[in-house]
Order: sequence, then structure tokens, then C-alpha cells
Amino acid sequence: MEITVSHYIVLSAILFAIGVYGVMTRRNILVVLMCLELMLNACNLAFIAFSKLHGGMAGHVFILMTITVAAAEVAVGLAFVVAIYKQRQSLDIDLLKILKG
Amino acid sequence: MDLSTVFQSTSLIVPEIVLMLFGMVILILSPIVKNQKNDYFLYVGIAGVVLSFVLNLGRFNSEAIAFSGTLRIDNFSAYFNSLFLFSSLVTVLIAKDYLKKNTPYINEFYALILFCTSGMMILASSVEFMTLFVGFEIMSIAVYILSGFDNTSTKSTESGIKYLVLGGFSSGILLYGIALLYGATGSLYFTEIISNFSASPMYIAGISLVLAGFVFKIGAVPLHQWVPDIYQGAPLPVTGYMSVAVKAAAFAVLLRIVLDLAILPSGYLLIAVQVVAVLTMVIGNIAAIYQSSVKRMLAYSSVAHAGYILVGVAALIADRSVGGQGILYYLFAYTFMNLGAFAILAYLSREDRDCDTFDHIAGIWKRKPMTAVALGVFMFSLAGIPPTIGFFSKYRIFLSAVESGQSFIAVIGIVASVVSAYYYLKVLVYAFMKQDEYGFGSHKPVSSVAITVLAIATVFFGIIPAFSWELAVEASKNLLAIVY
Amino acid sequence: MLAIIVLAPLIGALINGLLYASGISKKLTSKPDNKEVISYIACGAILISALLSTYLFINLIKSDPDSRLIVSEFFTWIPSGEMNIKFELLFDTLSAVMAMVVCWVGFLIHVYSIGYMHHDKSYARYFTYLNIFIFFMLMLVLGNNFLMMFVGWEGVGLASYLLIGFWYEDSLKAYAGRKAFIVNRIGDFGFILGIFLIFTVFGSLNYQDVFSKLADPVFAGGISVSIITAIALLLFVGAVGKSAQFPLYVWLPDAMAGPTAVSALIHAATMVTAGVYMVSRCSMIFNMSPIALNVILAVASLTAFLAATIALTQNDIKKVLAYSTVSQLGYMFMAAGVGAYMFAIFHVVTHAFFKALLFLGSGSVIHAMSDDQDIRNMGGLRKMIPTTAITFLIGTLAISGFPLLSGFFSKDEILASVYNSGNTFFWIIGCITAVFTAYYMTRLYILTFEGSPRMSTEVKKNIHESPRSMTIPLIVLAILSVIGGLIGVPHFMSEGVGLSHFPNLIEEFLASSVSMLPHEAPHGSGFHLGHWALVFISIGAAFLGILIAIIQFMVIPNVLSKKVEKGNIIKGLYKGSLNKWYVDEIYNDIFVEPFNDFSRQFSNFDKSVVDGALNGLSDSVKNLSRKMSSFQSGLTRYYAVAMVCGVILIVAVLVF
Repeated sequence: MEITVSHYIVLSAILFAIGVYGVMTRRNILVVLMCLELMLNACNLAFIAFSKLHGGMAGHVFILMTITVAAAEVAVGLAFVVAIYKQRQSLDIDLLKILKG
Repeated sequence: MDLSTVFQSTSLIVPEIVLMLFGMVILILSPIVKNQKNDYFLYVGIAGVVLSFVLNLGRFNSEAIAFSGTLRIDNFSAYFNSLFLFSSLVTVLIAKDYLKKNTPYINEFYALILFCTSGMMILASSVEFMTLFVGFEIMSIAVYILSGFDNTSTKSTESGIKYLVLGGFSSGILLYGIALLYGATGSLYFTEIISNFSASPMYIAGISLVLAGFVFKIGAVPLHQWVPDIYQGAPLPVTGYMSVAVKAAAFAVLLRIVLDLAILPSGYLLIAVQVVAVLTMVIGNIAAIYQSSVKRMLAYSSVAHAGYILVGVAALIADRSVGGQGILYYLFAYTFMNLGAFAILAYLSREDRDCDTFDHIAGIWKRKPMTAVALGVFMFSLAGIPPTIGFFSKYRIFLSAVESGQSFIAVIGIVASVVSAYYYLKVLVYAFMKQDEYGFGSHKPVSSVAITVLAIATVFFGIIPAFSWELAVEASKNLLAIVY
Repeated sequence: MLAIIVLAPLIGALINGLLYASGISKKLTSKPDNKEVISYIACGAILISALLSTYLFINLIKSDPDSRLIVSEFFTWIPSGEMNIKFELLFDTLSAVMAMVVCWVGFLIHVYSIGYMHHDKSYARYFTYLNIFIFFMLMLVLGNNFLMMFVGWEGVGLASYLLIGFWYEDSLKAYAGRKAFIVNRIGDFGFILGIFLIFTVFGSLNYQDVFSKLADPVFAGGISVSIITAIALLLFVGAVGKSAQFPLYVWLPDAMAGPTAVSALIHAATMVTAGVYMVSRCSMIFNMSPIALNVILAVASLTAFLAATIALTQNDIKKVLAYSTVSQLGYMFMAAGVGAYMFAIFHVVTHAFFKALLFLGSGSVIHAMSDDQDIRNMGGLRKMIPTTAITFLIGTLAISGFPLLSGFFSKDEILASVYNSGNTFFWIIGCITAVFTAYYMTRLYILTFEGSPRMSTEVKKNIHESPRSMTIPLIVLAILSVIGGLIGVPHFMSEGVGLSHFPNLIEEFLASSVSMLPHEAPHGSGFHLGHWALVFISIGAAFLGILIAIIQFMVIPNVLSKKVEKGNIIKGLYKGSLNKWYVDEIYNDIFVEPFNDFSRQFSNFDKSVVDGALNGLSDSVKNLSRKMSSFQSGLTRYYAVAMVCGVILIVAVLVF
């Protein structure tokens, strides 16, 4: 079987869905951050595939940007993780519900 | 693209570069300077914002394309940039008093505000998705940090991580939408997307995901639930900044995308925007009634205001020639009145606790009459009562809805704003008619200047809207036709 | 330059207001020397306006009679499709006269206030309000469209409300402020309706547009007279409220609760004449509607007469002056009612001089009397405070119509024009009112300054002449009251004494901006009085009133008062007059009480039915609100789920 662009797109959609599902269900903040990362990387895959489909470099350049952004986002997220762990000695995202109503 | 074009393009984005440079100077020098008690970096920050503001003024009435068509600098972006820069200036001033004792990292706060603002400025002028995404993330990541800035407060940290997770989630959705649009049309430039347009499901799915990303950022129903939590947890100046500048930036892009890209497979776009606008107004206003925290109430009210602006968007979709001015003017008005409201809360906060519940503002009329009057001005304006800027802008928005033949939305909007008067005036009842029990924070000279300016502007533009209205009209002309 | 005239007081107000708000003024005023800084700012601001308007006024006189008009446009105020309203100022002859009066009388009263309010702790607040008032008043008279007039109109109302309730710690005074506010709202309602109607009929609110359309026979022929009448009457309702005409005059006497200088400025010299200004400004509209003019004449005559009868017996020095103001305003509207707008404005000017003088004089008296206002406790003050007494006497004579003083000329012109228009009945009422005027003013003067002192020894010890900042304005105003009438000497008089080239300044000057109904003396009606006969009748009326008062209160002070107690009819009339003909009580019974009853009834109904329903509604909204916020569980994961649902919804709607 030949691997075509649509296979990559389907794969990226599946990865994206796994990421979304993870954000909705996982309680550990670290895992949630990883799921966010997974979503962004699914997008990267889609970009690469589409870049291949259309030719041109736009998709390639875009994923460099995305990787940078994702790194920055995770860095900030980890800083928060440290702060939260200091405050509560736990990384359960469900415990963060002072703000509600 | 030879070197001279690079230079030429670079010279076009000097205001953004100035902000970035000043921000970096603050970041690099602040650990080196020993005497942290001095406000050197406040002045650096203010200088950066002011310089950028002045440079940005030069952009009015000029049109230019920079970096091979990724950035478009025109009246529209100059208008929005002025709003961002003004609100960041006010935020810095308020934060100076508010954060003084709370945090040792105050200099980084200034730097982050500068970075965030430069991100917004890029966002408002971008006409290409990669630039747009980068601007979007510069803004977002800075705001995540800002909302969790007070790491001693559990609320602030909670707000920060929630915003990061949900915001990252929405960025992911936005990015996937961009990827699908790229796949459908083979380009990231708005112009080329328009010319390669074909009504494929991939295109429509892509554009809906992109829209969803921005609906999240403006805090409209159904993606509004993060708004009250994050607004309540973030430090007060940051909340004011988010509610005004981030929202305006998201709207700036939303307008361009809606008018250029989303309108192509028109279908149910108008109905969708109408439904979202109505739900946003109704849900925002009703949920605000029950709140006991003023900050949270203002958060819901900011959801409702996003709804009013969406009424203008619906008008714009139905008829390009109306609506744009109203939206732009509303964001202008909202900058003054909402920043003012949050500035007063920050002003009344004490070092040991924020001014948060209604009881905390009880009786300010007796203690601080001018503050109470200013609060009255802002609340009147938010409720849309003349002679304030809030009235004129709301009138404009609803008028555009009527002009584009959607009177029923205007009627719902008017009813919703009548409901909103209930909770805005409740603030005034507490401020003017109750006795205080808690006491207020000490006098904050810089903030009080900022509040005075905002209050005067709120009334002044309410009485004499002509100048500012002209600006909005000029800027909205860039929305009239696709002119890339 | 016009803008500076208007803005200078506003800037003064801003500076003083900021000083007050920031608490700096409290620190300043703790040292009495520094208090003057505040008053210099306030007076200086007005002086700038006054000097500039004088300069423009002189230019206006010098210029060609046909081009006596300065319009300066600043910016488009309300851009809104057709309704393009500009922020424009107009300096034509009518507004020039008004601006001069407002600025100069305002300046004198500011100066007077320095002394009068010296001991007050809210010194800066007082001057802030006063400057705001002048700002709005100038906007009212200098605006070039009805909307600006309305903004000024509301603004002076607000300023007057603030100043009446200036001593708001005293709840009665705060109540008086509220009463003024509410009664004025009724008038304003008519005024704004009139403005709306003007806009729908003429499609513009700009004076020149409206009046040129009205002058255009094609356009004017297309409008029915009844619409013009409706506009005129609605505008007049506004004037009735602001200028305290029957039946809305009740707020003015109560407004005397404010500081006396305020009464002089707002409730005698300037604000209350805004109605007269408005009617004169719209003279073209009123001229087209005979019905409206007749209504004005009737209402004005009734007001003049009724207020004069009430003033006869009042014992509060400021109340007498207040009712006299109402009565004099009636005179002005009588002139307007027969289309003699120039004489109305002429009387506005002279009245501003002598009534401001009288009020300031009474303020000086009250100051001397340690804040007692009852004339029964006064007497013999002439020897103790001579400057005040002499200037007050001049004012009394001027208002009474003593020959060659200012009031004589203006009142005489008004009565003559009423007579010449053929309304003999109203002329007779006017003459009787003139007798009353002379009587009550002389009574006031005599009871206050002549005879033997009746005050307690404690008060007597403290009586002293007022400081110079108070007496100088008195003297200046007294001089103006004497010579002010010379700007409007009728031609037949100047010819009669051989000065045939002595011009009737005001009539010539106003001719370019006010259109006057020509009234030739009625011919062939058999009996007709000439100019001089009319003059002598009004002189006679003045002397009669003065004489009666002198006889009653100086020559035989005891005889008549005994008679009053005996005669039943006279006693009844006396009581009626003393109690202001029970108008307040009647209003209370007719309007306020039934309204309270109604609202009481209604509130019962309200509690059971409407409240039930409304409470139900608001409860259900609150419940909804509560339920909605229970969706906000605070769980991040839950929000993510909600977001996914939202995104799916958006995609679904757009895709399908």
C-alpha cells in the first residue's frame, strides 16, 4: 500500500483527537501539557503533509514557528506547575477550583 | 527579496520593534541594577510605550505592505495599535501602584506588557496566517504569565494555569484550522486564499476552527466559560488589560477573517453570528446579576459587551458599509470605560486584600468622593446611559444593526443592556448609599491620575464624539473592500 | 475668541474644582490670606469673558448694521446622517446684549461673593459652581442652535440646583433645591418637545436655517399655523418653567434658600431671564402665532399681578424680592406677548441691574443682621449701614419706576406697547401692578432702613457695614441702575426735551436680530392716550404706590395696621396674600397629595400583584443566573469539554 498525503492527514487528525481527549480527561497537569503538545504536533504533521501536497516551503517554515511557540508555551506551563506544586503539593488539575460560580 | 526590501519592511514596523527592544532592555538590565527600589524600569517601560505610540501616529493615513505581503499597515491597524498602546500605558501606570508591595518581579511585569502589546500590534496588521499565529502566541503567552503573575496567590496561579491550558487548547484548534485552510488552498496569504477559494468541506472546517479560536479569545458564547475564572483570578490591572486590549486584538483579526475568508462560503455565517451575539448578550448579562464579586461581575459584563460588538459584526456581514465604524468605536469606548472600572478596583485595593466584593466598595462616596464620581461615570458608561461614551457607542452599534435590517437583534441588545443597568447601578448603590465597614487602600497618586484621565475622556467623548468617531470611520474604510 | 468667552469660566471651574477635590483648597483656605487665590481664579475667569465680550460688543456696534453677526463654527458635534449638529457659537446683537449682562453682572456678583462667602468652609466648591453656572449660561445665550441652547438650559438648571442646595446639610434647603429641579423638569419637557417638533418641521436646529426657512414665504406657506402654534406653546412651556411664570413660579421663592449672591445672580439677573431670551430668539416663530402670543400675554399679566399681590405682605426680605422678581418677569413676558421683544430684553437688562443690586443689598443687610431675614426685626438700619441703605434706596426707586431711573424707561416702554397693541385690559393690570410694585418696595425699604431699630441688642451690637468687596459691586450696580435706562430712551421723549439726536440705542441695536411686531397706535377708537399721557400715568402709578407706603409705614404707622385687624375683607385679603394665596397648599392638595395617595394605593396593588409578578420575574432571572453560574464548576477539564462541544457546534453550523 502506498502512503499518500491523506494518510498523513488522517494520522494527524487522530493525533489531534488524542490530544483533545487527553486534555479533557487527564488530571495530572504535566500530562495535560503533554496532550497540548500532542495537539500542536498533530498540526505540524498536517502542515508538512500539505506542504508536500502543494509544494513550496510555507508549511515547513510554519512548523518551525509552531515548535518555537510550543516550547515557549510549555516553558511557561512548567513554571506554573512548579508554582502550583509548591502551593498544594499536588498536580491534580481538578483541585484547582477556587475560582468558580 | 534583497536587503533593501528587508530594510524597508523593517522600517515599517519600527513601533513594534521599539516595544520589543525596550522590553528586552528591561529584562536584561533589571537583574543587574542593584537598587530595585527605584522605578527606573517603569520609566523605561513608559518611554517605550509612549515612543511607540508617537511613531504609530505616523501610520495614520498611510498604507503600506511589509515583509512581502504578510503585514498590512493602514488606518485600521494604526487605529487598533493606538488602542493597545493606550491601554498598556494605563495598565503600567495602575500596576505600578498596585503591584508595588505584592511582588518582587515588578520589572518583568513591564517587560511582559510591552511584549504582549507588540504581539497585538503584529496581530492587528497581519494578513497572513503565519504572522498572525506568531503575533497571536506572543500576545497569548505573555498574557498567560501576566494572569498568573502573583505567584504568592493561589487564585492568581490557578488563573494562570487554567488560562494556559484552555488557551493552549484553543491555539491548537486555531492552528489545526489554519492547517486545513492551507491544505484546501495551498497558501497562507489571505489574498491567495481568496483567489484559490473553492467551497470544499476542508475549507469550511478550517475556517470554522479558525473562527472558534477567535471566538474563544473574545470570550463569546459558547466558548466563554474561561472568562470569569481567569478574570477573577488575575491581578486587577491584568484583568483590565485583558478585557480591553486582548479582546480588541482578537476582534481586529476576527473582523478581517470574517470579512475576507469566512464570508466566502457564506451559508449560515450570518445566522451563526446572530445566534452567538444574542446568546452572548443574554448569558453574559444574566450571569452577571448573581455575582457577589465585583471583579467576576465585570468579567461576565465583558462577555456581554463582546455580545454587543458581535451585533455589529452581524451588521457588518449583512452590509459591509455599516457596522464597521460602530465596532471600532465600541472598542475605543470600551477601552476607556472598562479600564477605568478596573483601575478603580485596583485603586481601592489594600495591600492585604483586593477590592473584590460589593461590600469592599461600600461607602466610598463618604471617604473618596472623586473616586466615587469616577466610578459612577464608568458604570453609567458601561450601562450605556448618556452623556457618556458608552451611550454613543452602543447607540452606534444598535443603529448599524437596524440599518442592515436586523432590528430584532438591536431590540434584544437594548433589552439586554437594560438588564445590565441593574448590576451596574448596584455597584453605585453600594458606593453611594451604604456605610463602609472595611476601609480602603491608601492613596495611589499615579493611579488616580490615570483614573481622572479615563473618566474625563469617558464623559468628553460622550458629549463630543465627533473627532474620535471620524477616526473610527476612517479606520473602518479599510474593511469596506478587499484591497490587498 | 467666542470660544474663549465660553470656555474661560469652565476652565476656572475646572481649576477650582480640582483644587477642591484634591483637598488642596482645604489646605489653602486654612490660612485666610490664601483664600483669595481661589476667588482670583474664579473672578479672573469671568473677567476674561467679560472683557472679551465687551471687545466683541464694541466691534459689533462699530460694524455695519446689516452685518452685525459673528458665527464661528468649531466642530461637528453630533454627526449622524441628516441630523448634523454643529458646535457653533453665534454673537449677534441679541446674544451680545445677553452676554454682556451675564458676564458683567456675573463678575460683580463674583466679586461680591468674595466677601459674602468669606466664612464658608466650602469656598472653592461655591466658586466652582458659580463658574460652571456662567459657563452654561454663556453657552445658552451664545449657542447657535436649539440643542446647544438646551444643553445650556439644562446646565444652568443643574448649577442652580447645586447652588440652591449648597448648604445641603440643611435638609429643608436641599428640599428647596429638589423642588426647583422637579418643577423645572416639567418646563424642560415642554421645551424638548418643542425642539423635536422644530426639527421635524424644519429639518434643522440651526437658528439661521430655521429662521431663513421661516422667512421664505414658499416654505412658511406650507406649514400650518397650528403647528407653529404648537411649537410656540411648547417652547413657552419651557420658558414658564425656567422663568418662573404662573403656574410654575412656585420654585423661585423657595430657591431663596441658596446663598444670597446666588439668588442675585441666578434667580434674579440671569438664569430666570433665559426664558425671555429664548422667546425673543424665536420671535419669528411667535410672531406667526397670534394664539401663542395671547397666551403669553395672559399668563404674563396674571403672573405679574399675582406675584405683586403676594409681595405686598411678605415679611422675609428675600421673599419680597423673589416675588418681585416673578412679577417683573411677568412684565418682560407681557412685552413679548405683544411682540415687543426688544423692550422685553431692555427690561431684562435694567432688571438685571436693579434686581441684582437689591438682592446684593439684602445680602448685605442679612450679613449685618447676623443672618436674620425677617424685616419685622429690622428698622433703622440706614444710619448703621449707610452705603447699603443708599444703594438699596436707588434700587427701590429704580424698580418702582421713579422717573429717569432705569426701571422707569423699560417699564414705561412695556406698558406703552401693551396699550398700543390694543390690550387695554392687560395694560390696566400692568398699571395696577406698577402701583403694587412701588408700594411693596417702598414698604420693604422703610421697614428695613427707616424708623426705630427693632432688633435685639445682641444683633445690634454686631451690625457693621460690609467689607469693600461687597460694597463696591453695590455702588457699581447702583450707578448702572440710575443710568442704565438711557440706552433705551424712546424717541418722543428725547425729542420732547429737545435732544432729537439722542438715539434709542437698544432698539436700533437689537433690530438686526429680533423681529418685532409693528403696533401702530389704534386709530379711530375714539378715546386714545398719547405717548406723554401714558408716561404720566405710569409715573403717577409709581408715586401713588410710594406715597401710600410712606403714609402707612412712616407717617401713621399704627393707624392702618389697626384697621387691617378690623376690616374683615381686608384682613382676609391680607391673610391670603401673606400665605401666597395658598398656591403651595393648593398644589399640594391637587397634585402632590393625590399623587401620593395614588402611589400609596398603587403600591398596595403593586405589592400584591405587580410586585408579585415582578418579584417572580426577577427571582426567576436570579435563579437562572444562579443556575448558570453553577455551570461554572471551576474545573478546567470540564471547560475543555464545554469548549469541544462549542467548537463542534460552530463547525456543525457552518459546515451544514
